[in-house]
Amino acid sequence: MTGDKPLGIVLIEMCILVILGPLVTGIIQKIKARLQNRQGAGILQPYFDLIKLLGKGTVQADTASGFFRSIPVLVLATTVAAGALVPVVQSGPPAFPLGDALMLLGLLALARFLTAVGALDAGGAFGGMGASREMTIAPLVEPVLMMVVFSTALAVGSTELGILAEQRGTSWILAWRAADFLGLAAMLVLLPAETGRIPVDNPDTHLELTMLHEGMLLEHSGPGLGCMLLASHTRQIVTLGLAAALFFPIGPVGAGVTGLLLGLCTFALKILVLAVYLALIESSYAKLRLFQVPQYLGIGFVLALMSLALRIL
Amino acid sequence: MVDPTLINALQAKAMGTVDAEIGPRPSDLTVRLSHIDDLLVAAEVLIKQYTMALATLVATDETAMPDGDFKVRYVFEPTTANAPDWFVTLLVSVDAACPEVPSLTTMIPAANWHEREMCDLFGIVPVGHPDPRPLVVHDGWPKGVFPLRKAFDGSQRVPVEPAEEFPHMVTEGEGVFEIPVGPIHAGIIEPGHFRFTSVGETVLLLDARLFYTHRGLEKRMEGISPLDAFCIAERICGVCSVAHGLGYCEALEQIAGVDIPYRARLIRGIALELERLYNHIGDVGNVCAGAAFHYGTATGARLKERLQQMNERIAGNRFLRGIIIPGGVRLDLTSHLLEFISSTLLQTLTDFDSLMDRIEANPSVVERFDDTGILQNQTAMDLAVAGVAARASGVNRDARRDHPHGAFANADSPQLNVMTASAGDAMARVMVRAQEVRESIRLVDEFIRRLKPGPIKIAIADPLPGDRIGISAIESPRGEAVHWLRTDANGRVDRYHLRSPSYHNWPAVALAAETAIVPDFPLVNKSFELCYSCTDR
Repeated sequence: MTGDKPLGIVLIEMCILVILGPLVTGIIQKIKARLQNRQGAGILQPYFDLIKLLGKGTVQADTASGFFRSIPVLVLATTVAAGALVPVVQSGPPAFPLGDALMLLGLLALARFLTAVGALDAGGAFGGMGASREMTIAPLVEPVLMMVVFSTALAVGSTELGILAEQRGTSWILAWRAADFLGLAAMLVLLPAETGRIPVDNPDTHLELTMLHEGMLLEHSGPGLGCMLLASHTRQIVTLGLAAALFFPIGPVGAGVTGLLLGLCTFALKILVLAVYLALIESSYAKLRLFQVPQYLGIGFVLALMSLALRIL
Repeated sequence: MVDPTLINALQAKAMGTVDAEIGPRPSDLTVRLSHIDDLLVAAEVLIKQYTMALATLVATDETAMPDGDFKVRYVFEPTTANAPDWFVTLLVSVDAACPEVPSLTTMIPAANWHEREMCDLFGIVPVGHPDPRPLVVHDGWPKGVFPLRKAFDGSQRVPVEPAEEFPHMVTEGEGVFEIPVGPIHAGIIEPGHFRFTSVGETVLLLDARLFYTHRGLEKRMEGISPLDAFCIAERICGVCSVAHGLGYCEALEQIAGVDIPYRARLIRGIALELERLYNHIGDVGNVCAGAAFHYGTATGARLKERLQQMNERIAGNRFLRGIIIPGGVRLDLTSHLLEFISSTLLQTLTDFDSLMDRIEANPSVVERFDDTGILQNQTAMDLAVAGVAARASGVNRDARRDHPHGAFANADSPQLNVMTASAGDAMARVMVRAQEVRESIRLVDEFIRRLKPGPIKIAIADPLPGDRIGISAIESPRGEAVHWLRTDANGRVDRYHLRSPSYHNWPAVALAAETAIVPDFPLVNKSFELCYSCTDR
């Protein structure tokens, strides 16, 4: 199904996501710091970190193959491509066939797969450990995310994110049905897992033995690490954008420059609300014991399953 | 004080002669065994019949003395609550030409590292030791060079020999893999290598290799005046500065035969509790870091910082260094400072209680702490585990009560409530620490109330009396540290040995980690919170 969203808008949206990604991380970090009675680094710190890393040299493990060097670029490219599928300033499907929500999830899964391959390729113990844990968790997260998408898609009759967002933009919370609430609950359970945050993973830790996602980045350095981090920031905002498009009733609005700016503002507001949610969860809980993560994700699965079942029945 | 039945029991079992004499302190007993194989039966009597545990093991090189031998002293202490304050030393002579002793490790697991260290540094071989790998000396150290022998010149470099890879203790099998961690770690911690063997996330075996920060401090102290050597003893470890400084001073003061003024003892007691406070509170925060509970980590660090800033104002040093000196204390606590201490501690107590409330009321944190890294009571007894780790496994021992020192040696010292728990998991260790924080704040308050104007130090004549031994046991923040000091004929340091609590507790960390999964190791490790430099010396 094609609509009237021009290519230019899609590209602008993609750039906005990549540029704002680190800012979201910075804001989450700042909120977390304040909740711990700390001053914390400025919200622009992730940008400074990226700039610093891009100016550094690269050190690579002797055991790594030539493929290892291309991993960061591939992961970043895949994640940024996923960003093109998220409606930011304008809802409705693009004027040309691009891909739907399933494509988005597929691209994120591909990025995760490539990250894990890179971690195994380098041959370090922590990378292998991180990759094995990430690959244990991923099959529990990705299908459930798909179920959440399907649950909304069934009501609309399309898996195109632009159409889903447009539909949600006109259905206010009073019009929500039980399936919508269940789907949102499942999404909220899954968000920390998909963005690699407490209670599933801890992005701030230096304790290698506890790492999931961070463990896979240990062997990267310099610009390569910069790409991996930028990919993480982008992945986070893309995931939040997906949640926003699926569930937040203030849909992207209008056409024209005013409409686009208004759309950008509402998008920023939605992402901010989700960022605050993540920061609150991270500050209130300890990380789960690794073997209890499946149980936690099981809650998301049950919610998503019920949501889907209610739609079908 | 000395139990005469013990001597009879030893004599009944021994093949050779058993000479018992009082010493090093008036309440202690030193038993000379003429027959070296009697060591096993004598140790068995002490361990089984008298429920004692190995406190420390000190070897000395006396080849230049009339005896012309090595001597090995196995120092035992009681393990029951409220047992009398005494040490029993089993003393054996070892032939310098063929330095061998029977190994006690199979019977007394706590002797494991002591015997390996003795083998590395003195070349005295524990015959029948189940794990004779090197412990203290690392790859490249030349064979047959024993640094603590008097013939070894500590000021000279030794040639580095090509070395094979260290034989780590690992297991093999389908799906088993090794995880090497360290010796260089992320974060600001000391060096140690941990070799995990695991299946999936389950830890099968953990082999910890330490002594990367072995600086030969005991060797360095030999031959200099005990008063000068104090500076080295105080600097063995940063976060145990007060405890080690105090332990060394108490051993030295025994040798000098001086009695420390009342006020000095109280100030020492205050310093020891202040050290425990910033350690324990910082440790509770660090355990939270192991479970990724950020609020707890940040709050623990903030409270610890406040206490360390207070330390700096009291002693001019964040680690309270320089407050204790041989013969008393160097700095007096003015009424102004005492008020400052009281108000800071009051505020700290309120904030710490609030932190503990949040930890205990947060199911996600409690769930992580509960049943993580269990140390069984029997294991703790076998390994002679010390301090918080032992008390959290139901061992009712605290050197402040069992070997009174500092302010506790005063006749009117306040009653110490020893906090214990039985679960032996990370939660128990956190809770014991939390209770000890409250107890320490109460004790500081009691000490301040007992302070009376008076002298704060007493002069110690240099040189000190020759050929004397001093022994002391101090409850450092990590548990009982045993100091053993002997002067030579000229009153200089002949041999000094520190058995830190971490030295006995590291093997327990490995065993506790084997009850947990790999990603829980940082939490288990932080719940013990041991020193590397105390262990390595």
